[in-house]
Amino acid sequence: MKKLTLILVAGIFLLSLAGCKKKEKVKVIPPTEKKVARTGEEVKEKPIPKPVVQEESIEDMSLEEINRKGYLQRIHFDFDKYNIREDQKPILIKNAQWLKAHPTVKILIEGHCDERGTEEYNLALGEKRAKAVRDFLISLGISPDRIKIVSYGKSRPLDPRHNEEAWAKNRRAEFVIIAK
Amino acid sequence: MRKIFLLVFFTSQILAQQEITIRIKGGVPAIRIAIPPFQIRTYTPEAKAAAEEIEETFRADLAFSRVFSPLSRDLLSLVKDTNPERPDLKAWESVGASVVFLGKVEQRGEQLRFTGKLYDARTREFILGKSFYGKMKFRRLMAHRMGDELLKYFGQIPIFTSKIAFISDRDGNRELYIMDYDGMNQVRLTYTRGMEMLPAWSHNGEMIAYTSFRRGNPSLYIRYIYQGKDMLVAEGGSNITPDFSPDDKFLLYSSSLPGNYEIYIYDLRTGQRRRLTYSYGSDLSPKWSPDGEKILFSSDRSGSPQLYIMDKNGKNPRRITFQGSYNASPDWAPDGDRIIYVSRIMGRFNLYLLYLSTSQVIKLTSGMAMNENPCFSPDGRHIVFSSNRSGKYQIYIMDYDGKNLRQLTSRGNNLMPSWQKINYRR
Repeated sequence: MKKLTLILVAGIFLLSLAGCKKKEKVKVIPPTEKKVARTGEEVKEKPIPKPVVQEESIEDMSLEEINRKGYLQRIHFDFDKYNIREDQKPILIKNAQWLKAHPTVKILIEGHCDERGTEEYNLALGEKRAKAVRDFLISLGISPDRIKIVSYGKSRPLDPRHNEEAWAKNRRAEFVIIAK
Repeated sequence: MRKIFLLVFFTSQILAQQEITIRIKGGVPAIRIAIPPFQIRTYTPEAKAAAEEIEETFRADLAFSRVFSPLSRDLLSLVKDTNPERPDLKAWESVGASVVFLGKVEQRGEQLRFTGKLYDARTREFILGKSFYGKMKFRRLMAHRMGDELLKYFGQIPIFTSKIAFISDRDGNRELYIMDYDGMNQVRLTYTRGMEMLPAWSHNGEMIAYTSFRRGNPSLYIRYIYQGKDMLVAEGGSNITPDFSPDDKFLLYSSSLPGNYEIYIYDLRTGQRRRLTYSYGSDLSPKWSPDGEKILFSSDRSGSPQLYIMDKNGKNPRRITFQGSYNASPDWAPDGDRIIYVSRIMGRFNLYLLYLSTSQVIKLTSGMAMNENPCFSPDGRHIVFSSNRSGKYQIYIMDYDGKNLRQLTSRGNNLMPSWQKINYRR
């Protein structure tokens, strides 16, 4: 018991010290605070600028610029498979959240394959992958008429090499924003 | 013994004085032909070069054919034949020639005349004479036409003027091209800046069906090459792997419109279409049998891609491949008995030949590269395919037994070849 109280007391002491340090740090930066205070007087508006800036920028940017920013991340698949891997689901959930935050955006899902299939069967496999992604997004509440799909088979590899690493990269679904 | 057999065989056919069909199959020797140096009469350097190209092209065609076996230069040099109008056929027979071809190229102003005479070395008879006349830029065509006349005389399908359609990204994106069977005269046909793929040539040599991504999703078009016009055949979903019927009146293709790839038949005259397959798998690459009664296709309805044959109305599908877990991209030989296809083993593709009558399977390519989209020549003696064995994808041709491999393309990636079909029954 004595030990515990000792530890607690020591902990509180340390925390208070840390608190002091933070205050000291804040005190180091006042010049900027002062400048801000001079130009814009109200300090309350400050905490929310980031999301506002993002939304505005999407309206201002061209589709090409938006796509270059990579708001929607690609996902990857197993060899010869088109089911959504468990480790890829969080990426799709993030993508769905972004799409919900930007309800006017329409997307094209591209299905891609590694080189180890014929051109024809890879077109079929890429289409199944794109459809699996579309269905998953729909299950998360994204409207089907915001989503188009296309399969490029193995015609557009990310990595042109012929090894496991390249193949793993090339088995993927890409998201292209086609309307904002 | 072999030579005697051939001579007897050959001359008896000549004496019969009728259209004959010699079926050259494995092991049967080709017709021994002597082609002494052409007589070339030109008065400009360009004409001389063109005349020499005619001779070279003609020799290369015959050497490629597997119907003819041209005598070597050493054997040719043994015969001191001085009179081109009356060849010493006895001397030609003595060095092993069955037939003798005497060629002559003359310049007439801006044009060239290519005359050829064919003689039977044993009976000492004149067999055939042909003459072609045209501008110098058609020099290769004149040579190919002469070769075709020889093939036709011996009852063979004329292949030297046949063409190969293919896809190339040499100018940045995948576009449709055509070339002569020997890789010359490569011409770009589409300028869509989208992506084109999987072309299929008609039997009349005037249409190419192909898939284009120019409007987003892969739609099927027919290009009328001599009018430069495109006709939209199928859109909605993905529409790929077309194949013209032997009479060019119908087009088979695969469409993913119903949810997965199913095979459709399209009537070129009425524009009507009908669905032929109803399976849970992807049914792809439909190919008409040479008699137009059956359809060969690939399907993964059993879990992995395998080859099937069904009636032309879509009924009675039966599986024909049982070796390997991934068999696709088939093509049916004009003889109706052989099928060439791609088989995947350990992630690599090689070409295999299946004999329907005996169920025998022969492996035609080997190595660690990809060998894809095989297609028979119109006479079934040669196979065109694409391979990345040299790094990028290039188009190759080889004989039905895997011999005489030749690379036809070199710039960019070149793939998905389709050799023009010729329906000689019409």
